Amino acid sequence: MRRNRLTVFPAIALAAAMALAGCAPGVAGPAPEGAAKAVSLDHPTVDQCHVITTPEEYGASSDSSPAVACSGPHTAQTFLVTSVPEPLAGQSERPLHEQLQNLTTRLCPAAELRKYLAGTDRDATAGMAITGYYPSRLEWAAGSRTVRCDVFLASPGRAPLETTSDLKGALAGPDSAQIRLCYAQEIKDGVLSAEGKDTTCSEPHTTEDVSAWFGQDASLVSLAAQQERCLPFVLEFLKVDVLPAGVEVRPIVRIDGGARAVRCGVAPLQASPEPWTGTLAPLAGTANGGAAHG
Amino acid sequence: MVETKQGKTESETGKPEAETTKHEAGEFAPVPVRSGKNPQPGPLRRLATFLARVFGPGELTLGGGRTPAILAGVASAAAMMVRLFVPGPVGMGDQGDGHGLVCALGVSNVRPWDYAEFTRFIYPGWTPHQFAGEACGAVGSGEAVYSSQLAFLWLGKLITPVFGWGPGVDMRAVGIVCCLVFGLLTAALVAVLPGRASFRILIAALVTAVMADGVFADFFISPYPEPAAFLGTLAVLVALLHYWNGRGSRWLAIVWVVGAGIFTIAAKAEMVSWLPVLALALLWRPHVPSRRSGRRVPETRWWRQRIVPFAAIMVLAAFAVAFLAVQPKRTSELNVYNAVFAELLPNSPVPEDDLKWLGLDPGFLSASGTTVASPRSAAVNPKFSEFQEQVGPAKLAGFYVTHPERLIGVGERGITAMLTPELGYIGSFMEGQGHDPFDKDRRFPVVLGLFTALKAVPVALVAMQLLTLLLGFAVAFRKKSAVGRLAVVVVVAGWLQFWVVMLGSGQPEIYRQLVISGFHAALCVPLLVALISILASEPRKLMLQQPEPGVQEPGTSEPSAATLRDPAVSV
Repeated sequence: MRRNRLTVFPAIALAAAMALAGCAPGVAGPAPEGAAKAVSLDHPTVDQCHVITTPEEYGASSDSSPAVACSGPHTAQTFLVTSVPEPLAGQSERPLHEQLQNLTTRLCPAAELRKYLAGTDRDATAGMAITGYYPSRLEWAAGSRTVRCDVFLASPGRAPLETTSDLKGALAGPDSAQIRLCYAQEIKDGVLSAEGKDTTCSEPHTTEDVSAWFGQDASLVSLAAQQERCLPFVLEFLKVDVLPAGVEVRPIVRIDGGARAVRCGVAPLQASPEPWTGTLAPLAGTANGGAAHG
Repeated sequence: MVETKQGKTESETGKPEAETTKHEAGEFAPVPVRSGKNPQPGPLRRLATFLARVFGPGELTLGGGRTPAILAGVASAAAMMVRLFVPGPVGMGDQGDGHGLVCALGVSNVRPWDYAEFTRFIYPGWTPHQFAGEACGAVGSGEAVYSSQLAFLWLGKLITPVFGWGPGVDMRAVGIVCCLVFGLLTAALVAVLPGRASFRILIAALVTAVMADGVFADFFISPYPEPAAFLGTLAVLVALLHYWNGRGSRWLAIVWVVGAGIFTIAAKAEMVSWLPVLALALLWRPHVPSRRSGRRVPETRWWRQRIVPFAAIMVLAAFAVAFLAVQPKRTSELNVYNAVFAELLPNSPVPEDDLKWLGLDPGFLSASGTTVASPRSAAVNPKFSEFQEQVGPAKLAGFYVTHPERLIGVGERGITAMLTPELGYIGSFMEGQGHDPFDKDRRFPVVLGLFTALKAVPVALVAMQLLTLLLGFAVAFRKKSAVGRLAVVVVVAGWLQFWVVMLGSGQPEIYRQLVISGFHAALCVPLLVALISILASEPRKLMLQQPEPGVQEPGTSEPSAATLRDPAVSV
């Protein structure tokens, strides 16, 4: 009896080892590519939303999660659907993950996102991230070369934020402050620091970016010179010909790797600088007279 | 020192001893056998005698009570738990590879989003999460990752709620499982080692001391497959000792070796290096000298005796091939990339010639020293598909066959990396425990200390392994002890593992990849103690029992399980 038991235990251990090494069914895990399942070649479409919450889902080459309603909780929204170009498209096997990631910068450009958000050249965004999803290896082998470009709202820690907002045309909408780029400068003795930290305009800030910058040379040391250089961009941002009375041009300086750049900004005219929230960007079809909203 | 007639005893001279001495005293005093030495042993000698009496192996008998084994198992498991959890838990931070394996349990790590953030500390909590498609599996491809470590992870998932660590899996629970398994293996080791209980416990304690070093033990609380490799290795060693001891059913002993071997090989792809060692170990079978000892073993009987080991080797080989076949293609692609761009080219005196030999465009030289994710990666080269078509493991093997001198540099870099087993780029502590980011656990740095000291003279590591190998052969053939065979296996398996890693995986992550080779090297210390103790002990007095007629197993010439016999007597 004892002998039988001793013989059985190693057999069980052997079977368990093989099962746990993946040689038997019953182990939770991703289905192998060769599994007898139908290859889904569902064509992704613009405006679809997805729930992507982990770094692994975000960084994967492909995403096969089901689409959800954009009015419901989601983290990603498709703003562009395109195709893998040649010569990579001609490969029988899907290119490496790193090759695809490199491709995303070209295939999912920020300019396309700006169009989708109904932004202009003077609209700068913050707290957003772009990623591209490619066909799975099996879909690639079946001929698919479709690329899905998704936009995410990201927290300061870069994790995707869950939202129920539809991002299509969001820069022209009333809630655009949560995706617009603003700067928070330090206020010391009633004087603003030259530099400022990035934040969204829905958070307390001191300056709103107008998506224009230039290198700071000797001619741009004084604040007045900087304001003068930035004025045309601020006017374009506000969609006005003359600077409204309640608004001032407020550039900030960004030092990056020793290089100094002046970033043009705008803010409500204040007797003494104080943080404010919202955006001065005009709603679609309007011009801003100086009141922040959002 | 001359032994004279004067020194002979009464029995030899035939005279009373006192008479002889009196008669010859006037010519010269009797010379003691050990002339020039104090007949009273010094303190060191007394200490050595005491240690030999207390911890020496004594007679190399097998078996003994279960109590020492149970006590050793419980004590080693408890020691490992204390070492890992007191005053606070320590583990090995995840640098991103952990997800590929652990996500198979349907869980996601609770950790900061950014790589720079989550590598600073350990984040042992994993919560339930349903992954779709390529989000679960090898990073970059989503291909399934298989490892016998899944057994420990699954057990850890079972007991995680018991400790109140949530509904998913907590690596601290996995650490507890690993400690218990280690205790079980220690008990088994004590049970199968020859010699006195004190000697066996001493060797088990030294093995525990090796395992308890942070460079190995911290992996117990981590999402990596290394614990399965460590514990699988120990299981193989225990199973081989049992097999060579020749006690009990031979079939059962072989099944244990095969089971432990499969578990070990399945830990990670590099562990396939165990296959040739296991094959040789199984063929180095226990042999009991029969009444016709001295005569040549008939050819047919030689084959008959090895049918079962051959069958076991076939099973192991089939499993190894199957296991390698299901490895993520992405891993082999990265290994080839790293072997060329992170190892071969940056360390080559003539990289242009090497590229030419490999049939690659000279433009790839700009990617020398990169990983596939680097900004200068060869993957962004428009001709990268040429590299994928031209270079593979076979071509790399051909390169080293035709350029053997390059292996010297590879070996040097590998030994240096092996002697740097502490992974400084990932933290050991949980966030909020009062430790700085990337702080390392050095609660019991015996191996770390030894390796750090050996870094001054790296060749000393090889010397230590060679000494272990030679003493292993000496003990195997002169003392007929299975411990000698074990030493040979540990050293050879460590070397094979080393070269598989160095030639297969390349430079990136070399420190973590070589930690298993380092484990083999560290095991040389308890083995050396055991080998020296056995060699220094009294001549072998084995309790041999001849096999009783009529109780032999079918197809074998060996005695039944109940008999106690010579451990690993070799032909």
